[in-house]
Amino acid sequence: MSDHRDIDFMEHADGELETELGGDGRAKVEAVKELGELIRGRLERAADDVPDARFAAMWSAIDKSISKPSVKSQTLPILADPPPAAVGTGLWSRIGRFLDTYRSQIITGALSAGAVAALALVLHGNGDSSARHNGSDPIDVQRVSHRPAEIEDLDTPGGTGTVFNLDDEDGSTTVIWVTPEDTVEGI
Amino acid sequence: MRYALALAVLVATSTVARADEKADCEYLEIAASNGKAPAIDGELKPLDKKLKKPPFASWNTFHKLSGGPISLAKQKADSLKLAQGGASVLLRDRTEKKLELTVTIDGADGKRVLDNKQSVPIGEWSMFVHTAKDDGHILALTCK
Repeated sequence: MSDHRDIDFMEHADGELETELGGDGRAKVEAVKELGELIRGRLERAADDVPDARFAAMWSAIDKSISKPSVKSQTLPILADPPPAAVGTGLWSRIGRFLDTYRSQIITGALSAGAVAALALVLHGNGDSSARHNGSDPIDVQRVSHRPAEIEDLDTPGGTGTVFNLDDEDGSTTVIWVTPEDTVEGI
Repeated sequence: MRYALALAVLVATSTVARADEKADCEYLEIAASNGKAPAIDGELKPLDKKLKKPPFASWNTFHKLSGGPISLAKQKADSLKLAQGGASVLLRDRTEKKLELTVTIDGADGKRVLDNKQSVPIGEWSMFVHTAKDDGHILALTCK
């Protein structure tokens, strides 16, 4: 028993030393373990006694100390959040700050607009439907409409007057056709 | 400078006013008949397509008898120098798009064949046809 020192019993209690112990030695190791349990329990109770509000204040203080740059780091330029004195007040500076602030939104918007435009192009084709013909559908030919002349008065003594319009690509032509009364066969 | 501007405005307005008071026309007098071979005078090219369509297609020969430009003044009847009979045209009024015309045509025998009042779109042709036996007499008129 005298071969073991107190430190050996402590190491035995922590499982760091594995040597044969006598009955007295094992009792001492058990006593050290119990003593350790008592101290651990006492500390945990002390920690439990600290109020939550105090912990919150501690964490807040820790956060501030982390986010607040040290004196040494303030000598370096901080691009993400420049000090107010270093921020430009010109139009371009403000535009730059705006773009910097809303970069992700702008990129998202541009990508969305591009996608919509691409979709519209795919669905609508090139918009020149009159120039395309697949050979099976009839070509939709739109005629240019011309307003014909308005006949306000027509007198055909000794004959019969017939009015009609001739439409062609040159336009509309009003024709007044007079057939003599003695003509058996009209037009 | 003021006088120059005033003069320019005066000239411009008077030009517009003059344009509203006249019309520049062109007429063609045509003899239509049936010949052995179809023939249409080259001078009738402005009416070529129409003359090949019914009812004009019942004739196959079209010969220009007379024609030319004529300038009409508002409310002043002008006579057309026709080879057969006679005709007169009166510009009653005009707008930017239409001309109000009165056209009279007399036959070769001097009898009135046609008296017509019409409002015709600017630049379009009007054709006046009267038949005698198997032949036709056509007066075509267009005005700007």
